[in-house]
Amino acid sequence: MTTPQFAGLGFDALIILSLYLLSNIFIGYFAYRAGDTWAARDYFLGGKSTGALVLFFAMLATKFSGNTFFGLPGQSYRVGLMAVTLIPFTIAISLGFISYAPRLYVLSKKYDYLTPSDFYADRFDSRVLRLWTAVFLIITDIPYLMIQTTAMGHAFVGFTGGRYSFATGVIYIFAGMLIYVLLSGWRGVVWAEVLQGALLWVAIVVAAVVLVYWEGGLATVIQQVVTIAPEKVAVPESHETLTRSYLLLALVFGMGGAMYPQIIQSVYAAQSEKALRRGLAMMIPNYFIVMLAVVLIGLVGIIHLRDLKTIEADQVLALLLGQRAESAYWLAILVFLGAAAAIMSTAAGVLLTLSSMVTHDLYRQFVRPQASEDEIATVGRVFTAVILIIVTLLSLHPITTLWQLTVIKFEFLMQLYLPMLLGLYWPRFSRIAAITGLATGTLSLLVLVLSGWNHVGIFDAGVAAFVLNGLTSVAVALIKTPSEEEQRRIHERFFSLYTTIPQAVPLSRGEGKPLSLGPTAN
Amino acid sequence: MSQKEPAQWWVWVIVALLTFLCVPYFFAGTYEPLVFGIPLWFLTALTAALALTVFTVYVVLYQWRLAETTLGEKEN
Repeated sequence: MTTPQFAGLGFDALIILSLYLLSNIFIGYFAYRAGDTWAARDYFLGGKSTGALVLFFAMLATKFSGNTFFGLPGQSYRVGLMAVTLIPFTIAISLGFISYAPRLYVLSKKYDYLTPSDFYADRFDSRVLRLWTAVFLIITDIPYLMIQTTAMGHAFVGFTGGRYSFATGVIYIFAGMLIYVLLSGWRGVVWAEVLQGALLWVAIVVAAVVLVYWEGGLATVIQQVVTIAPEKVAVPESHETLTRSYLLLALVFGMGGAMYPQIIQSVYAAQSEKALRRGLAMMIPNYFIVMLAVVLIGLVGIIHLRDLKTIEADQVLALLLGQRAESAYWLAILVFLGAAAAIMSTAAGVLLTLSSMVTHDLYRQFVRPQASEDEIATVGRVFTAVILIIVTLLSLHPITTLWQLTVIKFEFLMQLYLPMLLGLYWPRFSRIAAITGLATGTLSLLVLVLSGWNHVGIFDAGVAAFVLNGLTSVAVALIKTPSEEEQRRIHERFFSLYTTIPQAVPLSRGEGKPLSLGPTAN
Repeated sequence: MSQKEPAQWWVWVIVALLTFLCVPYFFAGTYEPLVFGIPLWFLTALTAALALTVFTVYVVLYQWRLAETTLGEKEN
């Protein structure tokens, strides 16, 4: 290993981390006592009453994850100044979100959606699409969870200078998450996220500011990088590279990143549209601030840590601080905790979302429709434990960078963006068009990925599959007119909502029945 | 405020333009010129990113009002 020998954090850091974890568990338990955590809606969405400020911190804590402290600084280390494009990439996620959130919010309140698949199943009146989208989202969320457990492994190795092993970190988070999530549910997780969101924000911003300050300022950092690694300061020569790996990658982020099930569920959890808007408006400038911090951290890494190997680069922040652990112990501890907060909050959110999809979309719909709320919540907890075990085992030997995992994940997720968008805005977009489009997109992406073609000309595999998805969806929608019955249903149940205040007409059972788990939230 | 949605063509034209400006096509293959030791392309890309950030916040706060007219949600 080429990592230089240096002192890092010690056993006391582990004690502090454990105390921090216990405080989260305590908050979570307190929240559990405060609400009816066993009710699925409460367990998964906090009773659909989350206000703007809490929503903001929840978004902060969910969106900024292990990737913020490891994967992204690692990517910044690898590419240099071009990592500034991380800012528009992450803003693109918000843009993808606002392209669907306004209408989806209205529908979710009206029809009491719990999971992303509720929308697809309802809009297209299709159990096939429920199953497909649920399985799809579950499978793509697993790498996201792996990113968190892997990041914890990197945190332990990097911050402690190798004193604790990668496996120790992975197993530590496994144990912590198990207790934390099982006890708290969404309400507990969200309450704790206020603390975690604040902590991770402070940690990453302070880390960047201090590291840059120690170098003598932003201009000095960049000047040094120009001297040491000019290839990391120059813009790539090829317009094709710029288009494929930067401009179009913004599309992948925007559409794929906006389809994270936990992001979709934040629409459902909001107490009002105003809360959702305000929470998001607070979040967006922080994308700018945090991504800029991440870029600067990578640049400082280029100056001080030469020749980090590809996967090792994911530890750049931890290594930089571990190097200075003796002189700036407090900073190393703060960032270690901040990284842990980011990792745990995201992992908790992902686990809850996965659990809600498995129980609501798969178990209740296809296995035991008559299951009680208690049974659903129990199945959710069992599943959480099982998925944690699987992901932990998979994470013990990282085979690729966190960035690569992220991109692959987004390429699959963005296939779901199209039926969401067309479903919300195009009345003619029918069930058969959605199914054939999605099938085309998914299969073509699988074929491309498995045969090793990660791009076709200027298009990334995901973008190429997305284009095929789009062409097929539109072609089928135009060629095959939906039946009169389907058209009527789509208009009455969806498109008539966006223009008038709906009258209080009771909906009959069967077609048009509102999805409900029990007493409605309204 | 009357009903509004971000799904208006001019919003996405501006978004596309600003995103395009975030990618330094006009400086391909180089890192010069430098302004106070910082590559100009970096400053340009950063400024475009800031503009995109501000514009997106504007759209969220001022071009999104649907629940009041569709669900009867009060704004106050």
